[in-house]
Amino acid sequence: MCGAALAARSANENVRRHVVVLFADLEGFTSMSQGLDPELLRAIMDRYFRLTAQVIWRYGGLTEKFIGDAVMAVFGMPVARENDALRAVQAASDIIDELDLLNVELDREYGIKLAIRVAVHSGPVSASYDAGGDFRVVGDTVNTASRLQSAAPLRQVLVGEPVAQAVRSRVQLEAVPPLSLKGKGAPARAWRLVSLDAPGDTTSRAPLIGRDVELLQLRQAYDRALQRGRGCMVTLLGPPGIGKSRLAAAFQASLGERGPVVLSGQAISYGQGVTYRPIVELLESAPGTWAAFASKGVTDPAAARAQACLAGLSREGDTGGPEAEVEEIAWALRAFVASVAERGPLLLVWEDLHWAEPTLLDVIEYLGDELSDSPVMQLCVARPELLDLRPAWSGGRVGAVNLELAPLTTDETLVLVGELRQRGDVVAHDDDEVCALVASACEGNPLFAELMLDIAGDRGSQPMPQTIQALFAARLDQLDVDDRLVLEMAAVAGRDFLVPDVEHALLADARSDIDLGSSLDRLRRMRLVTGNRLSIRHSFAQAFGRDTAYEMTAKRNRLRWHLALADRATAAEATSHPQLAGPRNADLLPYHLEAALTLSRELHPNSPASGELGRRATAALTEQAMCAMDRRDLRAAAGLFERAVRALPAGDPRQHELAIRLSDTWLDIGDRDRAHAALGNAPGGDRLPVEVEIQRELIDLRHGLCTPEHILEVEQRIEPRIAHDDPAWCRFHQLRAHRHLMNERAGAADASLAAALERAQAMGDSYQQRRILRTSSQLTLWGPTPVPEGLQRCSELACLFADSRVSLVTILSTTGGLLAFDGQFAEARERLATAAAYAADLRMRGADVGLAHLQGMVESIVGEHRAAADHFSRARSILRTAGNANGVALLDAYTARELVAAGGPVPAPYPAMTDDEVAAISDPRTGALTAVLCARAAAGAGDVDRVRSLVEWVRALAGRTDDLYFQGTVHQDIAGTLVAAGRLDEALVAATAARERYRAKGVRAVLPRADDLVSQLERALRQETGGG
Amino acid sequence: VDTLPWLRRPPSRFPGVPAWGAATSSLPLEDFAISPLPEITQEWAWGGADGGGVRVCVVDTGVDEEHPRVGQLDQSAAVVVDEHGALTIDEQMRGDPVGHGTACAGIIRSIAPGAALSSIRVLTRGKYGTGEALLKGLSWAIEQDFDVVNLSLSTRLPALEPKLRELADHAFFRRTVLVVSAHNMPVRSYPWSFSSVLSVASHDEADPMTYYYNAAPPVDFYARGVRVKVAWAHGAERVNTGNSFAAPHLAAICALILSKHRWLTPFQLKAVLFMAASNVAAHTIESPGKEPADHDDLPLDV
Repeated sequence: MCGAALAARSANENVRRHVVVLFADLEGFTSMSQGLDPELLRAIMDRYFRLTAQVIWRYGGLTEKFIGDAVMAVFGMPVARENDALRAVQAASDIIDELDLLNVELDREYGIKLAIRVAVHSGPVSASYDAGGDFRVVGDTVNTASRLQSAAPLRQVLVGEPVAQAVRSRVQLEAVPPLSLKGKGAPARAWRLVSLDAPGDTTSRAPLIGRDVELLQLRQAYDRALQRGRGCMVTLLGPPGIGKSRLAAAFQASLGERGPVVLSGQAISYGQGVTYRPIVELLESAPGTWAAFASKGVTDPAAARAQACLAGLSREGDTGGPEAEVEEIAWALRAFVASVAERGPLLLVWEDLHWAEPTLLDVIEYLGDELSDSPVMQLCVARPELLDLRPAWSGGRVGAVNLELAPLTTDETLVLVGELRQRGDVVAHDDDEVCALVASACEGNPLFAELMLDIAGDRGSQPMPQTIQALFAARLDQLDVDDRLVLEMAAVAGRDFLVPDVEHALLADARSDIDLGSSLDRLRRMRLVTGNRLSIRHSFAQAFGRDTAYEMTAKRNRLRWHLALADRATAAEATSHPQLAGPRNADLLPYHLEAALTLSRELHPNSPASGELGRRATAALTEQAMCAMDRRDLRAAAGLFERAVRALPAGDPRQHELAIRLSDTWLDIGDRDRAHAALGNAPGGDRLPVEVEIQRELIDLRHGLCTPEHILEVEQRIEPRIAHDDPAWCRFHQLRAHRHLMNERAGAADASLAAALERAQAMGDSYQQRRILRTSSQLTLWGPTPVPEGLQRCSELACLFADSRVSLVTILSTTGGLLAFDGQFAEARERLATAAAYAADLRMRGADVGLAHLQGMVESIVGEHRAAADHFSRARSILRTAGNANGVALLDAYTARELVAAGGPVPAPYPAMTDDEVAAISDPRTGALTAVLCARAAAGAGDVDRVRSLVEWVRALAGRTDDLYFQGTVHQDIAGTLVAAGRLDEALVAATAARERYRAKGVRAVLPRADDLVSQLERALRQETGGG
Repeated sequence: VDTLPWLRRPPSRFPGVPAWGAATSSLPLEDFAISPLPEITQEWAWGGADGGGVRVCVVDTGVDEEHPRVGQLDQSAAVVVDEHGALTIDEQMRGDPVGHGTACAGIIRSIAPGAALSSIRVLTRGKYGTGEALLKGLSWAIEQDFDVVNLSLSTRLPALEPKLRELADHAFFRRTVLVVSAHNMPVRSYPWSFSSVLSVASHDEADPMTYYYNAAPPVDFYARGVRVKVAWAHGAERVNTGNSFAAPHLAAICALILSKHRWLTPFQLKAVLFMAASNVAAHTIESPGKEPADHDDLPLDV
């Protein structure tokens, strides 16, 4: 009769299963049956069996057999479900209730009552089906269930330990004294079902103890942020387990229902290079705020831009275009946070920052600065290592404070341990040896204490592990083998793991027999993992818990699971479903591959599999590094490239290519030593040295350590050695472009860059292409390129870099300059203002000098010489702060030039400068401008000979640059000076030269003035000739 | 610092002893003003008494009467759950699965061998129990008209406070003296902090008859509670520390006094305990000659 549902199944012999067993038995059945007619007894028993079978069926169980008056049922066959235990307990309770109703009838009809005891237990059994589809389960679990049942009080349900753990959060249980079961060694722990109502919140085991002062400090910081509208940033520092997160949670809870919007993100220990994951988490932690921000984007273009940028972050991994850059992300996050803060107080919680990438720390500090006048509190949680990474963390920032969590005092520890151990409202007042032992051994660390208590049980005599890792390891040893397996797989999947990942690992190990749902239920109950049973996302309760579980996992298993998860991530990435290929998988592919590689190298050092794995890991890491480069997260990129280099098998030809990329990254960061060191790591080889040699020159050149002559010599030496199709050409042309630039030959530099660009395009190297294009945009302004052509190129570049405001700052300011040349002053000013706004948004301090310079140039062209002088002088003061003496000299000259143009006298020091001093200036621009100013002063003093010699010097210097506009302005100044010296004929030559340069460049804005000067001089000369 | 002890805030640290106690072996107690009752001496209070005729009940984990340090019990009961899930008193329940109650009973027996000892088990989960079971068991003990009830336990659950206070007052008026140990941690709990009970914390000296009056509330007396050799479950013995063991020392002294002075009320008994306390008696014995002629009170020694 039983197992009919399985009749259709094929014979399936002896499977090992984790099931829940229900055992029910009648009390005093034998004595009752003695006085009854057998037929009547049969009728009564039929009603009883029907009742139980129906209840069991209703809750999805299978009645395995009736033994005399006993009923045994199994939940979790043929398919295990995560709530098997709960359903079994509910069925047990219902059987008792329904039997009460039946008893009313039996009592009325026959004057008898049935009394029942029920027990529910779970564990592994061996299940077998016979050919008819009936099944049998055998195992110790069944025996224990039967024994528990006989120990149950009448009309009560007793449950064994695993069931109690599984249902404890859903029903009310009460422990009964441990039972000595027949045939069992140690007494078995058991619980009585008190009620099916869910018990109150059980998430926190102990009250927060000994953190009153810290809580108060947090509260004060928050209140001040709120009342004064001043942002603040508090960093909780302390070793693992000291209670940082607990304090943060208690603080959040203390803010009550009218508290702030809370957004939180967490850095992880193994996701190096995944800089923005915590930000994605933060955004996902409050979907409502995100929706509000999204609606704001409909009307507010800035919000829309920020929204697109942030949304792009969480879609990371699908290759829909280049990613936003660091500065842009920081700005977008600020825009988002500020918009949330506009609507009310906001708390940002950043956890585990000791694992954060430097760039994320930059972003958090940036937020702290930018939001200092919003009611936003940033609560950072980190181990003290954070201060090793960032010694200046919080330092010198307004409203920022570090709060170190000290160990609890002895008294506090005793109270805590007492509370943790307490199992009732009333407690005896003797010295509990376990408490005393734990309190003295746990070093004031609450988590340490909790783990110790878990391990100690009721006996305190056994020696305690002395480190928190060892403690945690001991805790893991107590787990059921299947739970342990699940936890280990989860640890391999990550601190935050997805249930399907663990499922996948189980599948890979052919262990899908494990009931993952109940296993996770138990792990949650033991507070090893946290999560919601409805969500596929779970986390380890403590980060070091994950790390310890990981360390304790056999390397063979880790390797296998990492590979399985890497395959899963690869497969997910290949599918186009964004739901399947979530950001996490894409992020974690390199992590799994790299971890697998390390393990494989340790376990099978010479296996070819390691080589293949290394290539896969390198590819994944390189891809991630390129993404980081695209968003200009240079430090993360450097780290990723370094790992990519390490992952490659020895002798792989890609090694030197990666080394150069790494070197590039360090070069961009500005670390010359590391840029060189990266190359030093590249192994020698026949085709290596050329590109590496060029790179070395590029590094030194960028640090101002090369003369153009030296570069020329290098070019001549290297060029014959580069093969026709060598990728080194791209860098060779860049090197040459730099030499031209140093020589002030923008046109030639532009041509070299074009050649480099062509090579980069041929190699499909988009990163280099963007890099070259970005540089080349400026050359259109400072070289011989005609204005219309320059504008055309800038507008193309502006389209190409539309998603990169970092690049747009340069492109727009160049465009502004060109527009001013063209006489479109309003448009020019508008472009420069936009560029300045972008630079401010993105905190690009480096762009300020260039912008001020260009603004000065525009005003100079317009004829607003005072305003121009102000801009130049502003640029000068920035350079002066930066200690750039050459730049200061140039801008001094520009400023003086504008003052003279405004009708003023030549300012100091130019009138007093000697010829030797002028000749000592090596920079052609500064030299030319300075000499002109000296000449102008000499003209005022009537020293015509000196004017002439200085003018010759100016011409020579100006001729060294190919900047036509600059040449034009210098010749114009020469003309003015010669007029002042009374040499109109020579002035005409200069004025004509100026007009010629302006015409060639297409500087329409000044052409009429240049024409004017020429014709005025011609007229004057005619009059002079006519008069003479 | 100069504030009178009873006006002071209670300390938060108790080095060397369980919370609320005093390490009298190394740090003498401070003096305070005493109005003497010269007739009442330790000799007067309990000289020659053995506790005979006094009924003492240990409300705890149960008491093992098989233990050689304990011996026969007068009554032995336990709070149990009946078949309807309700709490009830099983007056036949014997034994102590834990040992804590047996330890308390053994101390009382060693000091007041003539007292009639009884037990009710209210701690049913090892050394822990529910508030309901405590209320049930304590009510039973009060209804049984025991002279002295030893409670080496407490609860921090605020919901229990009013009910326990009511019971403590009820006992006081019925002349059942509740001798209650203070918590071992520096936390407030009940019922030891009520004024209607005798509250006891530990000193760290070895003499079982030495006890001190504490002028700074909420603890009334310090009795022996550090490194006490006590009886334990299954016939074992162990050395243990805790205010749990200070309370039965004082409960036993109460039994001695009551066996000699049958009709003392709880408030009289407290006064006698005060006058006979080691720190108070020392003054009243040593100081009569130094007494100011026109003043009955002993000077405040600062």
